[in-house]
This record gives sequence, structure tokens and C-alpha cells, in this order.
Amino acid sequence: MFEEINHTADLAIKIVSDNINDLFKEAGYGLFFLMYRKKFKKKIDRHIVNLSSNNYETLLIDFLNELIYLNDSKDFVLTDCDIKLENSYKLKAVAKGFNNGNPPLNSIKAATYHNLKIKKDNLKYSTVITFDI
Amino acid sequence: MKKIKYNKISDYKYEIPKSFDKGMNVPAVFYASKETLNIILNDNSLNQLINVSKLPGIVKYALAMPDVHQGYGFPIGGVAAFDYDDGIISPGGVGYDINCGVRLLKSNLKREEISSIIKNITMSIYSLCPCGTGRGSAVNVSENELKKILKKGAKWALNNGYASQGDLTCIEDNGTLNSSLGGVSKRAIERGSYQVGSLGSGNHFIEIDYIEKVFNQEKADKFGIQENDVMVQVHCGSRGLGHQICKDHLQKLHDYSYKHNLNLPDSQLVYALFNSEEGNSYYHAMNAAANFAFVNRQVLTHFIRIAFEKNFEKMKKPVFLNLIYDITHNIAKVENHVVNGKTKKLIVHRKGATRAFGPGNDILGPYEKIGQPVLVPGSMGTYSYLLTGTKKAMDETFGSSCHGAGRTMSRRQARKSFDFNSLLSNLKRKNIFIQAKSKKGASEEAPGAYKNVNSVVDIIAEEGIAEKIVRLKPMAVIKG
Repeated sequence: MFEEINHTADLAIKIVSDNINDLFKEAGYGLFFLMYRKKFKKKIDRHIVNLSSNNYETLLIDFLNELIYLNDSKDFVLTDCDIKLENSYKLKAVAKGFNNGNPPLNSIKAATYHNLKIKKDNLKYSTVITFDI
Repeated sequence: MKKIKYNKISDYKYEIPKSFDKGMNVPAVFYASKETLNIILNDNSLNQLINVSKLPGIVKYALAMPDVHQGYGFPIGGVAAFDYDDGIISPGGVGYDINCGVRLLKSNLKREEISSIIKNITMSIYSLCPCGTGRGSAVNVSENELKKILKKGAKWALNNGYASQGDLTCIEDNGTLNSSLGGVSKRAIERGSYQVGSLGSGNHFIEIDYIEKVFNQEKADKFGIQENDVMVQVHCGSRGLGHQICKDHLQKLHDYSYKHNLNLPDSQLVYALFNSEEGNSYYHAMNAAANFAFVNRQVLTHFIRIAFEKNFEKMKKPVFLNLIYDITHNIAKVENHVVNGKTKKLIVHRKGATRAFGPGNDILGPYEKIGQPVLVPGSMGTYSYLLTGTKKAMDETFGSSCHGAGRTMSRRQARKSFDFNSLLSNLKRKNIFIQAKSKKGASEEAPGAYKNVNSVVDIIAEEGIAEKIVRLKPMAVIKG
């Protein structure tokens, strides 16, 4: 689950999920919701994403920035995602969606590392991500 | 988060002492009026400024200009200088939109000459200058040609017929910074090649203005500017290429930070020593993105000139749009400044802050005697200012000034508070024509979401950081 929260200059979302895989997925869906302000269903195209990092926080930002690149260069909109996180902070994902002819309402330059912390409380994972627009 | 304690130093200047928080290497200094102080205290910008004061090698103080507001890593409106020999460079102190900046052009037209055809001129510009997100460029270039842009900056525009020699003398650093392509990824090149000459979205704009008020007649005469002169402003940056370079280097610097076990107050403030392989690589790649942005604004200028000419063709009136100045407000630069009576080489980071060098500096070219032009665009439908830098700015702010009005309201709140149609009627009442790619995007930029630019500029002028020359009022605005 994601919800938009206030940020003076940019955009931010809070994500809460039952597991770390869903946290990454929801972050991806949240990113595209901020861009288009609506949810899509089409699953025509797919892109394979393989990434590795030093921790889950930086891996999450790298994943979101990969999705931003796919949108900027190929007009790709994410609607579904199979994601597998391995120990040693490796990610394998199949990003599913479609190439939208229309540009997003909000252009997001990047997902930032600002105050980024993935928390785990009462078996729930949560984080807040700030996007530069 | 503990309550911020600060001391008042002068009417508009405040200091958070070094003793306020563990790890602060220098005090944090900010500029505010009674009116703006509460706004600044109510967002996270001062905590972000305190984080900046904790970075290694920071000199004198971490500074926030009066338009400061919450960003990520550095606050927007932040200025910080680091020692050249043992200081750092941080992409978080520059931002993703490397060399986001503004340029101001002066026409030979008067307000009354264009008021009846303002919509036509605006639509001509809109059709020639791609706006909005993603792919779209006024000029198609190959990847090899793009590499020339990254190396040569505005000189590329001159060599390819998009600029005059006169334009280049009126661009900060003549529009070319010392770059190398070693730290520019293939992906950054790919993104740059489809966006040369594009406005983008967010707060980027092209605006047709007129001179509404002259504050300093003597200096206005030196600029050749009079009341009712038609002016044009262009605000944009390095587009996807700059964003990609920033991302690539943040990723590398996170590895550097992990390897060197750096203790960061905020992970967006990741850095490298300036004199390290990583620091050097980022600096030269950042300069490559800055060169792209200089070309981007220059190419847009070329097409704006064509749009004006086209609309005056029938009247057989030649139209000139001469560049007053082009400034960058997201950059890190190597500069000399006097610190404790000694000249020191520093890496000055300005994130949402404008260089404002005072008179007597030969790098200012035609403006050496009067001081650097400082361009401060206000929010949509309000005023913008042309100021000049002062000696006091050199003494107190590393030659820096504000870059705009500064947001007070989140984009989410703005979308809820200002509907596009009422915004449109408001602008219409003020005789301002708007052409926007995104209605929601335009609502987020409504004037009510920003501080009053007059108050922000008054703080700067009262503190003697820059001098007011003229004020501009919009006639038409194009938003991405």
C-alpha cells in the first residue's frame, strides 16, 4: 500500500507492506501513480531488470530509477511486476506494462536517497521515498 | 527532532550556532524577514541546512538564501563552500537538474507593440520549442554530435548557427566549462541525444515580460533597458542527461561511502573528496551536463528569436532579442574567495542559488564594472527581477544570492487549493496569456504556492547582497 505525503518542493510517498518484495512492488506502483495520477491495467510489454547493491535502501532507489529511465526513454508504464530479492542485495524483476503514447502529468527526475530508511515493525515493512520533480 | 535555536545577527540574518547540534563543523546562517521566518521554521529546510554544516571541509558557514525551502539532501536555496585541498564535492549539493538556470533576453520592442499579437507569438514559440516530459527536441543530433556539445558547451551552438559571439560573452563562464566524458554513461548520452532544445516540465518556463519598474536608472541605462521594454525569460536545465549523470554518480558514491564507512547525516548527502578519482569524475561529468544545459537554453533562444521574427515579418519590422545574461543556479564551481583575510580556493555548491559576483571581477566580461546580473524569476503571474551582485555578497555569501520566490506549499496542497480554470481566470484578469502542456502541473505552480518574490528580493536588497535594477511583469507564459 502506498500513499502520497506532503513535501514542499517535490513529491513523496509512504509505503507499507507485509514483506520486502511487496515494498519494492508498491514503490514501483506508487511512482507511476505520482506520474500519471491514475492506475492502468494493460500488460503488453515487459522489461527484465537485474540489479545489485550494498543494502535494501540503495537497491530500492536503483530499482525506481531504472523504472524512471524506462519511462523517459521508452514511455513505459508499469502495471505489474514479478520481483525476486536475493540475499546479498540482488534484485531480479520482470516489469510488466505498456508503452504509453502520452507523457506523464508529472515528470519525475529521480528517486532520491533523502532520509531513506526501510523500517520493520510488527511484521510490517515501511519506508518514505522523496522524488525529485 | 529538536526545536531549532537561532540568534538574530542583523535585521534579516540569523545564525544557528555550531554548538546547536553534535557534528556541526560550522554555524548555519540563513536570511529571513518576520514574514518568511515562520514559513522557513515550518518546513524541514533548516534541519537540512544543519546536515550540510556537518560535511567535511566546509568553510565559514552553511548558508541559506531567503527563498530557502525543503529539498532533499541540501535545502533548495542552499550555498556551501568546501576547501579545495581537503574538502568534498557532493552531487546532493547540486541536484539532479545540473545547471538548471535562467536567461534573460531584451528585445527592441515595446509592450504596446506586442500586446495585440501576444497569443500568436506565444503559440509560435510553443510550436517551435518542445515542452513537457520524455522525448522531444528542437534539434536532432547524433551521439557523436552530442559528445561535442558536452565538451564545447555554447561554443557548439556558435559553430552550428544557434548563437552569436555576443551571446557567448553574456553566459556565465561564456557557456563552456571544463568537462570530460569519462564519467558520462552511455545511457546519459542516449537521453541527451533526444532532448537538445527542450523545455521540460515542472517549474520550467518561457515567459514574455515587460519592464514594469526601474529601480536604478543609471544601471538600467548601462543594460540599455527602459520601462515597457519587452523581455523574454527562459528557465530550464540539462534534462534527462543531467538527471542520469547525477544518478550514476550518486550510485558510485554510495559504493564509495560504503567502502570508506562514511557517517552521513542524510544518505542524499553522499560525497567524495574533491581530490579523489570519484570526486574528479563527478566534477567533470557535472560540467559536461552544465555544457548541455547552456546549449539547451541557447537552442531554445534561437527558436524564440525565429518565432518573434515570424510574427513581425508582415510589418517589416526587424526584431532583436539580445541576451542580457544566462545564469546557472544548480552547480558546484571552483572559485577564489577571501576567508579570514586570505584568498582561498574553494568548491562552492549552489543548489537553487545564483552566483552574484560584485563589480571588479574580470570574469564578468561586459559586466565587470557594474557587477554580475542576477536573475530572480518570481512565481507564475507575479514579478521577476534583474539585480546586480555586490561586494557585500563577495564578503558574506561567497558571491551568492537567491534564485526565485521559494515554495511555501507542497505540490499536493497546491493541486487541491488551486484549480486550473480559476488560475486561468486570475491570469486573464491580469492580462497574462498562459499556454501549458499539463493543467495539473500548472496548478502546482500557482502563485499562492510560493513566497512573495517582492519580500524575498527586499531581504536580499536590504542586506546589500544584490542591488535592485528593474522589475518585470509577465504578458505570456509557456509551461511544460
